[in-house]
Amino acid sequence: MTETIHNPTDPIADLSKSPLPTGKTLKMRQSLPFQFTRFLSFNGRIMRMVVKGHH
Amino acid sequence: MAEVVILGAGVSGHTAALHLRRLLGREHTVTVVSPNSQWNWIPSNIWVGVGEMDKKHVVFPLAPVYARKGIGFRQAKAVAIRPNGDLVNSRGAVDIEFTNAEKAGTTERLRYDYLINATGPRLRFEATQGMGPGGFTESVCTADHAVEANHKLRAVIEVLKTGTPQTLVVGMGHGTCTCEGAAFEYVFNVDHELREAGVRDLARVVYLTNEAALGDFGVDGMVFDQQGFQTTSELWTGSLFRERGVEAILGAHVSKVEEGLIHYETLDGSTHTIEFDFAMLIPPFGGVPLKAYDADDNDITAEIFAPSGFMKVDADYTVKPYEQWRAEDWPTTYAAPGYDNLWAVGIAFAPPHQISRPRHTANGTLVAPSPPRTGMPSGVMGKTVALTIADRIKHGANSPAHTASMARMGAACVASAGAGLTRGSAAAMTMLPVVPDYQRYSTGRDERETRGELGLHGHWVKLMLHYLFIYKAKARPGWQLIPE
Repeated sequence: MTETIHNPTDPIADLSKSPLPTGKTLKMRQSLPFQFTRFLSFNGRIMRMVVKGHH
Repeated sequence: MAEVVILGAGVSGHTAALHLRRLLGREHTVTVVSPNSQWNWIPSNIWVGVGEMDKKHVVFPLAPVYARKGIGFRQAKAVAIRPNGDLVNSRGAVDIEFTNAEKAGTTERLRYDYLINATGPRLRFEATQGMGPGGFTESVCTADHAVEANHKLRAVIEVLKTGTPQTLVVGMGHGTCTCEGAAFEYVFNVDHELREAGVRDLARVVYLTNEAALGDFGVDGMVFDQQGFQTTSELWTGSLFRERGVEAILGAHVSKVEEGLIHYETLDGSTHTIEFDFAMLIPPFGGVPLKAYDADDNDITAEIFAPSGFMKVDADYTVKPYEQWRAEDWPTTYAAPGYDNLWAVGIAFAPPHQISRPRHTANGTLVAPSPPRTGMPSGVMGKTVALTIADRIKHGANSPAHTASMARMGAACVASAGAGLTRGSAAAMTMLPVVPDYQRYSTGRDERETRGELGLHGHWVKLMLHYLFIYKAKARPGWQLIPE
């Protein structure tokens, strides 16, 4: 995570309650075998969308 | 013999032209009018804007494709529509003005039997003083803008390498902008490039948006089913901003840009300024300046077009509060009221209202993300109208119109968060329908099909779509098998 330097006068959104991904999640996001399965899954979803929703 | 004219050669117009040519015999003509000589796969401009892709990989010349397919092409801009013809001829006509070097400025009145307006957006940089390539901020809305943005970004990275801190602001240049997804993509691609260059720790990266909440994307946000729990695109997006250390300023209307300084107002009515060394701000969109005249040359522009310049179609334009907006308000056939041979698709049609809840600042300034109607929905609309026209030419004028409401159709949105075959990532989202239908679904959308996921696979999907859609747009063998 990058350390950010806030200008105190800027209305920066408070993201301190946003969940940070765990180390495992970050690793899985870049894991080639796992991401290949997600790639196939997402393409399946797009095709379902084409079949169900394009009318 | 029927003559079909299509104004615009973006995703919607080009898709319509290719399908019409495929569906109609050669005795019928299909003519495209576009002021641009090149087709541009705009979603990949993001990568041009950070130097990950050359301009030549996102554009190609239209004329050879149209010549090969037997589609007429005028490199010209439409200036007026005459849906009832003129005193000489009652057939509809469109007045065009050539933009290519050989015939620049010359005009032609082009007759049509069927007309599709797919003119896309006018980039309204002038809406905010000092914004845009002619001012002090960059853009990625065209390939040339993106090239320039990359030059400026590289200069900032060089300064960072000397150890001098820099502030980079990416976002929306007006309270009524659309295409928040593009700014979202660009900010995370910039973040990725800064990390790759080893200078991220010296850079302050700020996302300045008109969205009232992160993850709104101009579609009122999304609710996902994640491991048995409902989660929101706001929470999911917030996580990415926190993880990457990108600061977010929400609900902002940018009022003015000076050299190195952005003036903006937030929903609570307070006004602020932020200094920048590099800024990329998306402009608000408007319809292209098209006039309309009746057969007696009376100006009927206000009858055909909404004040925004977008063309009115079969939507319910009754002004009503957000709580009364319904999925049924959205158009299904894209036909202009009162005309059975005139349609508007893609960005060119006037939406009945926003999708995201509009808000006013305490000072009364409108902050209302406009509805996105690009990409997948745009292509579907183009094809739908092409099918309607082909049916009417082949089977008679009474053939029913094909339909494709944004309140029924789904869309995939792949927002790049960094390029690279093994180090890239993207937020890959699907939503069904695009316009939420709270009467049909408790969360507005089908939770089984509305999902979001971050990871390397998203980058692969975006790259795959880049090559697939350029292949399709070039009308290579089997192009029609690639869905819109």
